[in-house]
Amino acid sequence: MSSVIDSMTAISEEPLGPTQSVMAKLDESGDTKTIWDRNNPIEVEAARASFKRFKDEGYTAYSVKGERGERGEVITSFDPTAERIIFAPRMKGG
Amino acid sequence: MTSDTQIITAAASNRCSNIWPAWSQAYYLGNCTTEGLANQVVWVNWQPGYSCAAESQAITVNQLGEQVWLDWDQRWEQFQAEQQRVIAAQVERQTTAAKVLRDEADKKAEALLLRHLTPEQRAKYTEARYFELRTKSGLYRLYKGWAGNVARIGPDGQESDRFCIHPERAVPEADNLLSQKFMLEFEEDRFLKIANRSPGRRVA
Repeated sequence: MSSVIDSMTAISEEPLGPTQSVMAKLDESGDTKTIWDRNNPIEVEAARASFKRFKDEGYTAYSVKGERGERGEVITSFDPTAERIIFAPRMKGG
Repeated sequence: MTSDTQIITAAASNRCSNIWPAWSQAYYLGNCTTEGLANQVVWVNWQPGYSCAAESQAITVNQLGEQVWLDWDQRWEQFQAEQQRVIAAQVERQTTAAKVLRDEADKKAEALLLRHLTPEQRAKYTEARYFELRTKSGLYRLYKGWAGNVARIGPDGQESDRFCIHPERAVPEADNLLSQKFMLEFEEDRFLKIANRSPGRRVA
C-alpha cells in the first residue's frame, strides 16, 4: 500500500484531472500532497489510509470547496468524493 | 640499564607508529619501573637522540630529541587547523542546505496560502503582509508571522484583541496563516478556546 501512496504523492501544484482530488498536509517542507483518482478504488483506499495516518498524527482535516476554498468544514472521517482536503497541524496557544 | 637498552632498541628498530606500542608494552611489563630505572631515564635517553620526521621513516639518531617535539607540535597544530577547517566547511554546507530547504518550503507554503485567498486578500497580503477575514463574529486581521499575529478589529477600525495561537510543528509562516485562517472560518469557537488573548494594539 505504501508504494501506491508514494506514487500518488506529488509535489507539483494543481491543476488536477476532472476525477482527481488532493490532500495537502502542512509540514516542515511547506506541504506534502497526496492525489487520488476518485474512480480508482486502489487509490481511494490508499488515500483513506493516508487520511487515517494524518489524523493519528494529530492533524485537523478541512474539506474545502470552491476556487479559493471559500467554503469548507472540519471532517473527521475520509470522504473519497472530497474535492480538496487540507491537513493543518495541531495548534496551541502561544 | 638493561631495561633501558631494551626499550630504546625496541623503539629504534621500529617505525614511528610502533614506538608507542613498544613503549607501552615495556612500561606495562615493568621494564622501566624497576629500581634505578625511573621513567625519566627512558625519556632522558629518548629525548637526546631519537627522532623521526614522518610515519614512514625509520627512527634515526641524528636529531636532538627536542626536535621531535617541535615537529610533533607542528604536525599536531596542522592537524588541528585542518580539522577545524573541515568542520567549518561541513557546518557551512549543512547551513546552506538547510536554508535552501527552508526557502523551498516557504515558497510552497506561500503558494498554497495564496491559492486560498480571495483576490482582495491576496492583494492586501502582497502589499502589506496581512489580510483580513470576516467571520460570523467579526473581522480579523492576520499578519504574516508566527505568534500573536492575529488581531480582531473593532467597529472603530482599531484592534480590540490580539490572539496568540500557532502550530505545534515548525511549519513555514504561511502554513501558520493558512491554519489560522481555516480555524477562524470553519471552527472559530475552537480557535478562541485555544488562543491566548491579549489587548489589541491601538493606534493613537
